[in-house]
Amino acid sequence: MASDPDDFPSRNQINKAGKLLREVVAGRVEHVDPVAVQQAIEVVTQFREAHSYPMTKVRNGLASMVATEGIDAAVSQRHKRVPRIVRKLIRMHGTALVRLEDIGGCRVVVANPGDMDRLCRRIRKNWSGDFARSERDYVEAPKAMGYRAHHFVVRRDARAIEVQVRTVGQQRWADAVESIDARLKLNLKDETGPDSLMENFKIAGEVIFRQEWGLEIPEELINEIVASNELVIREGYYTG
Amino acid sequence: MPVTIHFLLVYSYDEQRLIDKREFKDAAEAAAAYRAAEDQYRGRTDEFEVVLVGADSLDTIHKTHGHYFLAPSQSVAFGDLAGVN
Repeated sequence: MASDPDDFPSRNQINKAGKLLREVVAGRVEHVDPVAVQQAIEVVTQFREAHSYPMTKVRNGLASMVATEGIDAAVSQRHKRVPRIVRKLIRMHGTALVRLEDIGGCRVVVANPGDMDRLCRRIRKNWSGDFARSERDYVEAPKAMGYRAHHFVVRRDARAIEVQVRTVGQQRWADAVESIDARLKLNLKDETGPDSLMENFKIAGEVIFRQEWGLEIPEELINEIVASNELVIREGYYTG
Repeated sequence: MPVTIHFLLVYSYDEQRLIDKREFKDAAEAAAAYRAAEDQYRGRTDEFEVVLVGADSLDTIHKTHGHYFLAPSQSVAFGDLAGVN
C-alpha cells in the first residue's frame, strides 16, 4: 500500500492504467509491453487499496445502523477483483477508472422486505448528504434479467463506496447466478448468456419477489417457471 | 468499533470449491496477501477467482457471498419455486 501520499498515483495515472489494461484485455493492442502492463496493474491495485479504509468505515456505519434498527442482518465488504474492474471498463466503454463507483463495496443481506425498507430509510436519513450519486432502486425497477436490490454510492474520504442492500431471497437469486457462471464459465452476472437461462432467472426473480413481498403468485407465473425449468434442463444447463 | 476479519478466498471453477481460505485481522497484511495471490493466479481468471472480503465472522460471509461455499450442484436452481402457491 502507498504509505506516502506523494507516492500515490495521480488521477491521470490511474485512468491511464485502467485504459491500458482495458485495451490489452479487449485485444486492441498490437504490441503489448509486459512492463507497462505490470506497472498498470500496480497502479490499479494501489487505487483499489486506497478504498480499503473508507470501505471499512462504511461497513461499520452500516453495522451500527443495523444495530440501531434492531435488524437481523449480515454486513460484509469486498474489494473488486482486478479482472472484474477491467471487464467493467470494457463494458462501460470510455468510463475512466477513477469514476467507477464499486471498487470498494459493502453488502447487507436482510431477512425480509420490512427490514430492507427500515434500513434503506436509515441510510437515506444518515447519509444522503454523502451520496455520490442518486440511489438505484432495483426492487422497483429490476434489471432485465431480474436482479433486485437497493444500491447506494456513499463518499468516504474522497472514495466512492457502493452499498448493496438485498433480502435473503434476492441474495439466493444472486448466488444462483454466481454459481452457474462459475460452473459453466458463463457471464450471466453481466446479463449475457443463453436466452433460456436469462429467462429462467427473470421468472424466478419475479416469483421470489412475490413470495417475499406477500403478493399473489398467478398460476400463469407458476406454469412459466415449470416450463422454463424444464427447458434449461433439456438444453443441458442442469441435469435435473 | 466492530472487528473486521479479512478473508482471502481462492475459488476453483473446475473443482467448484474453495481451494484456499485465509484469515487476517490486519488490513495491511490482508492487502499484501491479496496482491501475492492475484500475482500467483494472474492470467488464469478462467480457472480461479481470488477475492478479499471482510466481515465480523466467516458466518456473515456465508450469508453475503454464499456461492463460494455452496456444494457443487447441477440441480436446476429454482426447482422449488415450481411448487409455490
